[in-house]
Amino acid sequence: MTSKLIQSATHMPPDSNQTVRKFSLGDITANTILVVLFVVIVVPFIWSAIASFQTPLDFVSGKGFLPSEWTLTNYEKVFTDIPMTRMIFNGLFIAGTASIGGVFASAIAAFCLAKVSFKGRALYLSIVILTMMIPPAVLLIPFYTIMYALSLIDTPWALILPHLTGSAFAIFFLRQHMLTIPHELHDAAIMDGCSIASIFFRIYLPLVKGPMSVLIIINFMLHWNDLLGPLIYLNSVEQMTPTAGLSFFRGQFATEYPVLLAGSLVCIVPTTIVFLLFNRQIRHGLLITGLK
Amino acid sequence: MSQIKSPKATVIWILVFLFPPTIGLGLVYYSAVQGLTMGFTNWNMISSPKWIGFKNFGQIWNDYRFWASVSNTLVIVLVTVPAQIGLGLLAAVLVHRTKGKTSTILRFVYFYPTTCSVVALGLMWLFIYDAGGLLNQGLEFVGLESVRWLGYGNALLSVCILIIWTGFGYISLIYVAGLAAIPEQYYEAAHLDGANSWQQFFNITLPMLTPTTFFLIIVTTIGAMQTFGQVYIINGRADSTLTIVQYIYEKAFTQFNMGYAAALSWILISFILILTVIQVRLQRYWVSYDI
Amino acid sequence: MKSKNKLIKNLSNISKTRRSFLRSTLAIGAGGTALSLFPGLAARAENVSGTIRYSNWIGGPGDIEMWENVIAAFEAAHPGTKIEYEPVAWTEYWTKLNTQFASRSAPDIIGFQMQSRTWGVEGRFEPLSEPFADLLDGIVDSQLKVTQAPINGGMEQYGLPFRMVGASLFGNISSMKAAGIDYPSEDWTIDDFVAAAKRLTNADQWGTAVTGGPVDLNQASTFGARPTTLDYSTATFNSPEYTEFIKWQHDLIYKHKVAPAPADLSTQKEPFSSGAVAMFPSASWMYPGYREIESFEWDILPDPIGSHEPKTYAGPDNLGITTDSKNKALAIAFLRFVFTRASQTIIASTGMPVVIDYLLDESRIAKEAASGPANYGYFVKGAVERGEGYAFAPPFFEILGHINDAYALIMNEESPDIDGILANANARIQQALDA
Repeated sequence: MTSKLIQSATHMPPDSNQTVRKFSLGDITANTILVVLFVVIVVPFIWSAIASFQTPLDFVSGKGFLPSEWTLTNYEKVFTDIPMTRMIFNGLFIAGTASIGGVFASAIAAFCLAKVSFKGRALYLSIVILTMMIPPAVLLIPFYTIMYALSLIDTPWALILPHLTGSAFAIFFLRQHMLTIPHELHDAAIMDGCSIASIFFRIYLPLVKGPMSVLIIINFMLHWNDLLGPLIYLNSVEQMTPTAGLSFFRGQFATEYPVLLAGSLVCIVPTTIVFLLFNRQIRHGLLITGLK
Repeated sequence: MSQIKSPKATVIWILVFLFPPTIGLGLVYYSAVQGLTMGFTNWNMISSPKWIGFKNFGQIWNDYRFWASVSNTLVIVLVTVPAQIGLGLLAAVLVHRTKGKTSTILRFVYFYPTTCSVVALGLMWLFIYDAGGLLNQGLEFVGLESVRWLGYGNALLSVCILIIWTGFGYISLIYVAGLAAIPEQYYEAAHLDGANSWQQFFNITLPMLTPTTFFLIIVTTIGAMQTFGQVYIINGRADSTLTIVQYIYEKAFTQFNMGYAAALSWILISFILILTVIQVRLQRYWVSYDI
Repeated sequence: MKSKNKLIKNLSNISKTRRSFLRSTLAIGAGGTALSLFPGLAARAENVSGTIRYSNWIGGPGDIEMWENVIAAFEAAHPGTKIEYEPVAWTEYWTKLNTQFASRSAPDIIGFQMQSRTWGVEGRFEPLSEPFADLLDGIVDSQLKVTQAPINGGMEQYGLPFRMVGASLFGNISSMKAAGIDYPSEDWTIDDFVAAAKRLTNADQWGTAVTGGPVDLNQASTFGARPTTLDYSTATFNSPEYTEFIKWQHDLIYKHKVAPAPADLSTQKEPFSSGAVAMFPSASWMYPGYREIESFEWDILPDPIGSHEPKTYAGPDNLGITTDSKNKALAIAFLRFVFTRASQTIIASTGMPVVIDYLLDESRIAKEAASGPANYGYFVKGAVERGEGYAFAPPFFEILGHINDAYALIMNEESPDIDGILANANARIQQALDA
């Protein structure tokens, strides 16, 4: 049974025998697992979405699953109590600039570290990877002091500039990808006398487009969802990002949970759209490999 | 593997290419040195720091909260890293065999929690784990006793479930990419040789995925060692979910003891470094970049 | 009226320690406007201009709007000034503040609780005794003490309370009526309380609940129990009094069965307004939320009496001027404005005012009582006459953490090792006090 599961699960060449067979035990097991995972992920979101349409009264006393009265009050509060529309634009600008710029810088560095041999390369890579191990709490105050000295506090640049230098994670990730790209391509390019810059832009950049889109998405989400950064580096309500702006609904003693829930769902919408837009590109990008 | 040689002309390009990350590294290491030096002082962020040598480290050794945070963090690493990678691989392998719309939808949904903020998800799960929340309503519906998900004994496990739930989709996405990159010819050749599916999985799929797996183990271990967001929202009482990073944060910013927090950071960095070095050393025994 | 006069007398007696010439400005009962009460204000107000930053944490719904209103009123009265308001969520407030302190860029005015005891002496706060000399006697004295710190042999005021918050026992009057329980008189005892809780407990509702600190201080005080001594030098969390109180609370859950184990209560659905708990120790910061209750009638109940007279947990939220401030004249002007009648009226909507004549003003009390709780006057009296709080020990958060950890271990188990857990927690509280 399990061998069937694996058989159907692993990448199989098209084969008439296999495609004709229907509903083997392995298929059923595999599909059941896929459906269970699907349900486990989807249900909490649906449940939260329903809860966000409850009146505050329903929320505290509600015992049933569905609200007794559907209301948009919570969503109205999200947009009227704080300048949410403005915050969404702030967030898009910060997350967009930081993620695209940062991943591009990382790709160039990753190429150097994967495909160009130079003295101290291994050391440089370890120095890069080591930064992933430093707890952010240690960096917070020195970083803030630098941003303050540069007069960037309360501007989006305090959140963008540090990321434009690339991230250790992205460099590591892209380097791993470039290592698996067969080297016949650049051997040929060297023969043709290309500079390493043109080798990167003409050969490697197109080949890592897929992983790069994945990273841009992931980094976009990271920046969009960052809570502490905006709260520390930004002061005015008008400069806030949506994720940080929602904290205005969290009191020391009393928190407006239904509003917070509605706000969290509002914050999820832009990332979902970005993800849907890029989804096709990620899939295509990931499917392209050096030899195809 | 042949590499681009570095004749004089390319040196300038290397400098240009590595310029942005070098600036970033300078910034991070300057800050890290500044921050970590405080580990040997009694700095409270207000009066000027006084050098006290290893006194903080001696105090940490006798600090029961530190040991609670170490034990909780290790539990999180040991539970969530294998579970996420196992579940992620399983999901990837299963998703990879689906086609068309189903495949698109599944990939989207599995990855979806990763795109949401930890705060939003923590909040959502706070409702799910609540005394009268979704999970307990479900348990009651099927006639089981409700569980104190956020109680003293269960909170850490509940945090682990949240981490796994959020993270496995990301891992499966990376694996799907890895699976797609395995050339079909390998399977065709194996098939002609009469290898069964198990053999193909263990001789082609798994080895071809080892660089991806290695990367994922390193990254998820470091991530799990630095667990903070989830426990920041789902906070078990009596230190039952206290993690090392949370303790660092608490010491630094609510108790104003930056010196102690920096000393704790030294210890965390050492832990992560040791784990990573072990993993990198072990890599040669199981990771293959070429077949 | 009687109690008010007695109070004022007490306050004047206490303030004898202050420079005597200040007492001449004491104009309580005059009933005049704020400007006539504090003649210095008008004169100082003329000269200020420019911009300052003011940051405070968000206590609950209504806080942001409250400060925006106060600032708008100030800016209208002082053309050419701008107060940049920076509200921050409680959980990130101290992180942000410390980061700013470390880079010497703290806002001009900041909100805080008891940190001035250490921060003032360390030079982070401007001394306020001098510029606010004429104001101090008009503010509730017990609340002023929280922000004083000893320096150079005297006491210096490093912050000023802008409002008071405090704890009460809240009652679901509709449930009580249904159970045939009359509104209790001020001399009801904890035994009466337990009896009432038994009658209020049914399939849909608990009679009461065990909350942990700091809102259970009222109940603890009737056992003569405090977590620390009044001077914050010694932990008394496992004293015979505190142990008795804890055992009494444990009995509420497991012997009398009138309260749920804390882990079985929802963390998001507020127990009192959801109707889950009929008599609930809570605090004035919940007023804005409780005033929206439509499904039942509610009020403050008198604190039941045990072996001791009950005290009322009452503590201030404070404002201070940082030494990082670059426009101290404007900072002082704004801080003075907070104590005008105009501001105190706005602030009163989210807590209690601190300017005595307005705090005890009977028409104000009547107005608050009209929107609930009806027995608001009992709370004001309690907070002013027998207000107390361990919130003012420098390691307050640590102490509270240890207390609530002990609660989690004790109250969720049927037969915990109460003495052992309390001894352990007590040692940790002592450690925090010593540090």
